[in-house]
Amino acid sequence: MSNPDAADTTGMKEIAPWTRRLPYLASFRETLPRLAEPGGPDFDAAFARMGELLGASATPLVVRIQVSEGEHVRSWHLNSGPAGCQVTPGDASGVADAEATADAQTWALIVGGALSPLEAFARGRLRLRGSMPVARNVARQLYGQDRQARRSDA
Amino acid sequence: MPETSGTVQCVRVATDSAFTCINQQGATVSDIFILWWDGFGGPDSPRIIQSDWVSLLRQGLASGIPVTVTHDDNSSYVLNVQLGLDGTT
Repeated sequence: MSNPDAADTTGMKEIAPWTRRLPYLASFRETLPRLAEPGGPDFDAAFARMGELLGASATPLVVRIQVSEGEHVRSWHLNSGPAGCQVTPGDASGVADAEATADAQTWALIVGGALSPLEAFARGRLRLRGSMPVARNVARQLYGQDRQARRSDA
Repeated sequence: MPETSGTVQCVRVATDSAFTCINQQGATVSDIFILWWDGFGGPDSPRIIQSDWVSLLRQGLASGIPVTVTHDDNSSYVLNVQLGLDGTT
């Protein structure tokens, strides 16, 4: 891995191949598209970009991202519906269909495209809560739209 | 240390890993926890303890008795499993 923050993954075994057979876990095997520069990312901008990638959803869904910095926790809500996706900073209250919580360093790696969500989860750096079918749909939209964007850039 | 209490929705055991999903009371969605996942630097709990965790979770799943799991902040690795709420077992 090129990011020095992720250098401690040296010697770690690969994500178990059997996770491919788990539809929900396997959806997050790949790193996300780079949403911010690794190191000291602007989380507002990174999660706004994530909301753009998530886009519209026929069935309304709410994803809550939580970034813990010591005792302080910052939250963003990604509200996706038929009209598109709105990203709003907020608190940890309210109903969310899916929620992911990690510290700022871990989120910096994830939105920097240096650490996959599944790897962060497997290393005990990310907590997941929520509807797994919703999480899978989120992954499909995030990764699928990224592939489309790369094709259109080419 | 953070604790999560609720009812067991599933227990999945594979050769090198095991997971459980727990629904907190009143919640419609589950928290996903790792009991063990070899090779990723999680807590090094003895196999016999991990086996006991599976037994407790299985009993919780079958009976509907709430369980409480202890874990680190921002981590899904289970450190302790309790079957039944405090004072009820």
